[in-house]
Amino acid sequence: MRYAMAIDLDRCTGCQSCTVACKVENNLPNQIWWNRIITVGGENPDTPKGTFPDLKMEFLPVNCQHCENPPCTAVCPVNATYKRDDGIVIQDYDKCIGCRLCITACPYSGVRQFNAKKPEYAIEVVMGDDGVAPHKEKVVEKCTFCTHRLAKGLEPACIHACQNLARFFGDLDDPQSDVSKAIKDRRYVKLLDKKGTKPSIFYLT
Amino acid sequence: MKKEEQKGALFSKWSRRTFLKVSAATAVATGAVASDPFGTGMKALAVAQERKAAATSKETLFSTVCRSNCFQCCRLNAHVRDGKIVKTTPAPYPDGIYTGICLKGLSLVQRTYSPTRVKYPMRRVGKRGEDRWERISWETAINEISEKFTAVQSKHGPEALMFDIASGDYGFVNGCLGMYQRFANSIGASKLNVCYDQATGHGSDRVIGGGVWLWGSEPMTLLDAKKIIIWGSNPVYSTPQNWRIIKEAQRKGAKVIDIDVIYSATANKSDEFIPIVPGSDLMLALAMTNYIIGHNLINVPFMKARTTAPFLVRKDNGKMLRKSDFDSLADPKEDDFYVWDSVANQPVLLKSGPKDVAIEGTYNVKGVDVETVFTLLKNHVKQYTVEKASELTKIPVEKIEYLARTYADSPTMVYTNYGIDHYQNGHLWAFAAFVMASITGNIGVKGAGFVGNYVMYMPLNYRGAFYTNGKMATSKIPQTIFHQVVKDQALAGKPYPIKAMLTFCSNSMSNMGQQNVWFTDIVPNIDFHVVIDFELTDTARYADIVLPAAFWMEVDDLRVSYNNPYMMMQEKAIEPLYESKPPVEIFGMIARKMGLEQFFPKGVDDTYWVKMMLDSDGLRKMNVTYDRLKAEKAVRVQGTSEEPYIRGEKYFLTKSAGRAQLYAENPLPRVNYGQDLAQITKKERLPYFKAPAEAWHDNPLFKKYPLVYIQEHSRYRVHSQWFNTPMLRELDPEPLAKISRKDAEARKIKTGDIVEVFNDRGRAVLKAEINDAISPGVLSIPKGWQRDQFIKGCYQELTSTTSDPMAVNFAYFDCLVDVRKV
Repeated sequence: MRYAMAIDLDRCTGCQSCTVACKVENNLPNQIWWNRIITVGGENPDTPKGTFPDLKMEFLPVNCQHCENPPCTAVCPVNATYKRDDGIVIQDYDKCIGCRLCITACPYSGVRQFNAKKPEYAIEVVMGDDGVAPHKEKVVEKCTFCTHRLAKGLEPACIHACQNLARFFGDLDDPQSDVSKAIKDRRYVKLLDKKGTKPSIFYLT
Repeated sequence: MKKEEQKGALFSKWSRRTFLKVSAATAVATGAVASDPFGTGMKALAVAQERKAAATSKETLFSTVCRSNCFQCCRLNAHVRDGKIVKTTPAPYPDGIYTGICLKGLSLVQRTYSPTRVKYPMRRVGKRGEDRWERISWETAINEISEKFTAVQSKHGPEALMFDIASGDYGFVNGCLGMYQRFANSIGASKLNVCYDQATGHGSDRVIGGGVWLWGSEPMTLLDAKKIIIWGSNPVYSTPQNWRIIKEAQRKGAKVIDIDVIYSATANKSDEFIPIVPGSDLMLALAMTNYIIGHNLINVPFMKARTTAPFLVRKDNGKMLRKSDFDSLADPKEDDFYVWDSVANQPVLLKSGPKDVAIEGTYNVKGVDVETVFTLLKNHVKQYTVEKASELTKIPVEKIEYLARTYADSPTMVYTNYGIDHYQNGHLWAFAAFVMASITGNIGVKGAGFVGNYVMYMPLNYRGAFYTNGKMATSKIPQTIFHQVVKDQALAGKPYPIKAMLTFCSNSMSNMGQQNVWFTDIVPNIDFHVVIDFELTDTARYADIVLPAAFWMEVDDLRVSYNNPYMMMQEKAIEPLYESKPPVEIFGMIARKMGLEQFFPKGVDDTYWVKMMLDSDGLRKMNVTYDRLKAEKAVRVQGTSEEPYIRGEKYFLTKSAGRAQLYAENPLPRVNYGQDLAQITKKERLPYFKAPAEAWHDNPLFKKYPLVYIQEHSRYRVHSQWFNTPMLRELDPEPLAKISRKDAEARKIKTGDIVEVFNDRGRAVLKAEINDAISPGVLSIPKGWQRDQFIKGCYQELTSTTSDPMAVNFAYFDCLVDVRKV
């Protein structure tokens, strides 16, 4: 079994539904985002590249790539980050000592986030699911593929919330899973594949 | 650096060829699941899973609906744990293609528990706008409000109390369609005539009737279109649930062409982007119409059967030739239109059922010279050549011709909303576009027409709910002249005192044009201003008393959808927070104090009012009842899954035998407040070119202010709502002036510089962003930011209150500015 995700870049409009749903579901502290939209285009978010009107812009939602060969787990001195049998790369807040070697090792800038100070929240209510591990100071955190939801038989929050139906999830070993069907006969890219990380996120182009 | 590398890896691949189009075609060809995620009801399945899982946890789900005014209407589930809303997720519609919510709907937990929410009644203690308040009790607030309202009405007349209501909440009980009307009517107050987004519908009404709102078809009809022309709209940002359907149509093979002044997120996803000079869309539509007629791309059978093309127009007075021109009729219903029977070669009455009719020609009927409506139209549009249009729109001649041919090759859908509406010629564009649709048979049929704002008129119990004692609120003052009326305390030369105002579902100061008139004319001349809201908006900050409204998920309510075919029950998920109260109860408290207890009984809950709204024979005939809505939550009330609702499929809502009108015999203004129409009434019978009033190259002001200023919708706000939702501000922290590279370089402005955008009416000081999506000559500040989010000024200071005398509509984009580094 290997969990994977496919993101159809033709459908994706960079609408931030996945990033916001993730933020709510996991009660992410202020300024922490496990999932971000990168604009492939101009210098700033939501801007194109080129000369008006010959312009180009694409959106790239980027979360932890849950690599088959994760560079982060190799460098963690305390085994706080490790790969589960189902392919999900986990971060254990209780073991993490906040050394941030994993952040340095990860080629996907920004998917691992460090709570430098005590997590702060804009509102008092604890948002999202009560199965989410509480956030901690001075530890690294990142996308979990919503393991708490998988345990209940639910797909990750970003998949459920994608209003453009651009995101697919499931077991890559099961040809009937949504993700297997989504990538079948489609061209896709994987981010920085040449680094040998073997990411589990398929970007359908 | 890493990010760049990541981008580079992708971009190098993409630049080799147009990958996206190739892959889309592949997906369709192979029938992969990704190409048809609706087919198997995947989304519905996922939502059902969510419900099941929630049922086994400590969460309770409530079916609710987003109620802001983005022209979407998204059903969502509020997840409640320990009496608190912990998240909102998409809830399913029976037709899965409508299921989905955007980042705003997903962030509603933070709006509900917003740290800046208005928590209790507050009274101003400093100067207006100074933001100094004292907490008062509900009793004190209600006493003061009812006393002041009563005093103003007895001293200056009932109309001296103005209800300022807009579109902030579409509830039929607690929102802008709800019970405030029962209160306003019962005391005979004044109500501002809303001047937002009226021009498109004012223009379409001339052709297909239905008033300002009933012009769009159900969005699912997009799936039957061969081509979709998105014209002056950015659905990817502003109506993302509709975009999902456009995208699905595109994946099924429909060609999507986008016409816009900027390279929007929608242009980015379209098959073709055609940039256009701001405000010149009208000329494009007229030239396309001329080309279509000149090249015989018209649909003659459609015109004969479904339009007024064959009707005869008198040359002496421009009126249609009717039976009553010759015969005196006992009953006006017996009247009929003359047409020319082309088989018998003689004039006949339409109801006589001629075998064939002429759509062209000049005739003499019993001594009266006439010509057909179509001949009139054809001759009139000859002046609008593609060459002339090319000069004004800056679209190449061949491209305009291609567009005209593409459009005429039906079925073609136009997707539009209120971008072109925001110029002073907006209604004429809609008039022209609907005429163009009518001569090509691109309306009232499958896969063609207009989509963008689909509104349903439902037979609710308006009479029983909104009318009580025979009194009625009046609506004589359009928002566009409100400042003048308040300043003069007169309308059209006659005294019209306005001394008190109640603002509800509205952030008028932020959304009405030319913000500074509030500080010079409105605020100083209103003695007493009450605002009911959830947040301290710009408008609330200048009020005398602010009352805390219960938020959407804290009340029971009812909604008739926009842009989907459902009526929905909205379940109260939690008790009103802090000291907030449901608006219907707030109006009830004031009304009871003013002696209207019989109409606002004490101790009733929202459900009482929901049931009252639903108490109509019309709804019972449709089998739409409280119990059914309660059980099913979302009930389809128009069309079916197989046959989605097509506007005008059987007939159009016109007085011309239900036909689409190519000629407006008697054009009337949307609202008559005494404006001078003498010069334009005859002109307005046919769509004609009128340049934008301000934002046009031959306006002398253009030399001083060479940039057309638009305030586009962003993803992050609906008008000014969500302006301070914390997580959205993390993504989109501050206002930006988006400037083209060319205009920025000419002014030595760099991204991140602080700039002043200015004209004679006002200014906004904010950060600049060089943005290549912006056409040279255009400057955009995404709308909705509040005054304290700017360094100085506000985006709405720049716009104008001047409106077209027919459409009477804020023309936000008909606005010139310049920008400088500060």
